[in-house]
Amino acid sequence: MDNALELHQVTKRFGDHVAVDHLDLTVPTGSIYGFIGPNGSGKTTTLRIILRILYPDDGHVVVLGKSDHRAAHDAIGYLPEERGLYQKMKVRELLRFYAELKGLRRCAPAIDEWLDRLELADWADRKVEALSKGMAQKIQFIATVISRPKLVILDEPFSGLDPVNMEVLKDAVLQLRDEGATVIFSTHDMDMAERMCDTIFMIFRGRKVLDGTLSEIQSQYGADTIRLRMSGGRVALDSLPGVQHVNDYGTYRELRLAPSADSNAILARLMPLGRIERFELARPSLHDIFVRIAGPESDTMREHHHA
Amino acid sequence: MRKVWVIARREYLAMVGAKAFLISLALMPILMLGTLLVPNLLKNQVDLRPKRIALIDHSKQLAPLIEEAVDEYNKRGTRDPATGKQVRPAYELELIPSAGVTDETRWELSQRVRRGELRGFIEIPADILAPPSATRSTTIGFYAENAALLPEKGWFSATITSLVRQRRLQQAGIDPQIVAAANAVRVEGRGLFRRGEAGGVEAADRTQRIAAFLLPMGIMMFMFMLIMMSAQPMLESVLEEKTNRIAEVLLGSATPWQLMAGKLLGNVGGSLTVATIYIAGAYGVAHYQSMTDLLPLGILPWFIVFQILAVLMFSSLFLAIGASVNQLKEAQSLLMPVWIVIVMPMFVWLNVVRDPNSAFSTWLSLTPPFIPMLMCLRLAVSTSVSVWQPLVGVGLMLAVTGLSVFLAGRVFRIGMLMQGQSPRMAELIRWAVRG
Repeated sequence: MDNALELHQVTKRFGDHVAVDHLDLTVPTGSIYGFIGPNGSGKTTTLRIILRILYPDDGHVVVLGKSDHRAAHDAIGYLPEERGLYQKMKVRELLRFYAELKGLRRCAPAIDEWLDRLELADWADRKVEALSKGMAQKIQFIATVISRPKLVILDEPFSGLDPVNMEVLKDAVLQLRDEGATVIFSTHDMDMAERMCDTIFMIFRGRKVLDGTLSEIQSQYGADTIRLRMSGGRVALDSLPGVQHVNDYGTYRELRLAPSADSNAILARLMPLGRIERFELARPSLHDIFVRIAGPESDTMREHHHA
Repeated sequence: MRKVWVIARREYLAMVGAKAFLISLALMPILMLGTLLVPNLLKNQVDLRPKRIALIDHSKQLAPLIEEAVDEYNKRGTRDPATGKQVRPAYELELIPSAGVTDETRWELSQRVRRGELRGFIEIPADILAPPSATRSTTIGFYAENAALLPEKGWFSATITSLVRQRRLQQAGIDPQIVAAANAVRVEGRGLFRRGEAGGVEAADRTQRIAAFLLPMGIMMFMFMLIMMSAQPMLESVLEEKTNRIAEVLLGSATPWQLMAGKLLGNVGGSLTVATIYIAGAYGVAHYQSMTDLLPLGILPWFIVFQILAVLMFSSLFLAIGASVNQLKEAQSLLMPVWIVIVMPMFVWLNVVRDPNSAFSTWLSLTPPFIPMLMCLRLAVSTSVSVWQPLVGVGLMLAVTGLSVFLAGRVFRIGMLMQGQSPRMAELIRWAVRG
């Protein structure tokens, strides 16, 4: 089985609204696949189709080699964005419930092992409502992976976590991958997606707009970005010839170049304006690419407004 | 099937383990007994201060007799004959000279009543002792604030009536004792004769009169309570799963049908637990009081069957409603019609108890949503309900419950994943019909 997941021309409509539009997607087994896209672009619908909570109107879905839609798949683990836990249940009972629901029996050792690993052993007999947000998120993660799913779908798994817990959880995700699981994770955190995902997939208005490794995606745009820091006053740079867009990050600015622009010419225009402390020719970040596609000034958005 | 079981077990434990459930389990009998016992306990909480009544006697003959009766009452009638403790207030009679009584006098007296100096005043017309005729009224006025409710009015009415009657009889030359003897016939309602364990015919105990009235009502209330105690937790549990996004995890692991079946199964299990606890409790109390023959154990199997079906039906409706809203508040308006159906039998129970085999009672007890409560009520009242009736009732309930579970399932499947605005009734019905 080479692919954990295949979507072929999948379409889902809600009334007149097309939530997912002829989507093709192939997720190889054992990879970490990042799902990005703005809110309301069809991400959750796609995840629900993969989970077999929703049926596509057209196209077909093969999950872990099976295209049977009638039964829920025990080999998929799903972590919903925020919450997803019974507040009144004790942690251990809750984990046991989720494990048994996935058909896992004699799950007590696995539960203890996971609680130990994520430093939650003291909380095993406390009620979920007593947990902090970060702890609840870790419990949610255990609930998702307790049954050793082959395909793990994580929706914003790191939200609400401090850096220490984020590290712990990130290591756990990587270990799942090392043990052969396929991980799909949906996030708004572009840095996290860049660092963790083998492949990145972006959906926008129900259509696939990006699909590939980070360097594949970046090479589509070329080295069209200049990161610049200058001492002295804030000089207006928008009017420089060849500069399409300026994004101010505080300590430095990011200049997006027009396809024909020459970076040397821009450097020459900049030098009289102040002291240059940093001038770096770079490929655009995922964040920048995301904004270019889905931001208010993007081509698609402009098209949309004219339409 | 294993998933259904796992979900059912969680649902059952969540329901039975909830604090609210345990509290209502303890509170419900207290409330029910309370409504029976509290008025009884409060009966002795009487204001024992003397009650002052003014009397205007235009006949000029009754006042001394009434004074005598009041004295007698104050001496003996105010005390509990067994303990000698005062349990009723004494009366103070204030005689108002009847000469010169005008409406002004009556207004004065009314003001005194309003100020609380008097409890009320009585005015006896001059011709009260003359033989009554069609053209003349012989009414005595008892004036007070909310006169109809006062116990004093009852006492004075009885006393004066009896005095007047004696006088009139004497005037007619009839010995009052003969009249009293002629009145002494009483009809008492009693239970039917039956065969005892030894084979002999036994008369019904007097205590069985409770069985004829209170017990059937209790059984119906018990059914109502079981429905209430199961349906509400079902609504809350579905709502929790929906608002906390647990639904998505569950639906990623089980089909909507498995999920719903598990939830309903756990819920019915919870209601059976309650039923068992209470029935065992009632049996224990009855056994302790040696009154087990009072309990209509014969209807127990019917009760259990109807209870399961009723809980299944109403819980499935509550489940569908819980799945379609986002907050408990929004559920209220959708629940209203369901509540009306649930409490409907309460409005007609008295008619059914009075005449359990009338066409009205029979047909209503065979009308689906009311079958469980009304059929059990009839079975508890009357032994002459033929067995086909509860059987047909079970059949009808099976069909209707099946349908309601099926339709609820469709609403559940759509509603669980729905966020945002809650649907209106019409929309729910469309989901249910179209699927």
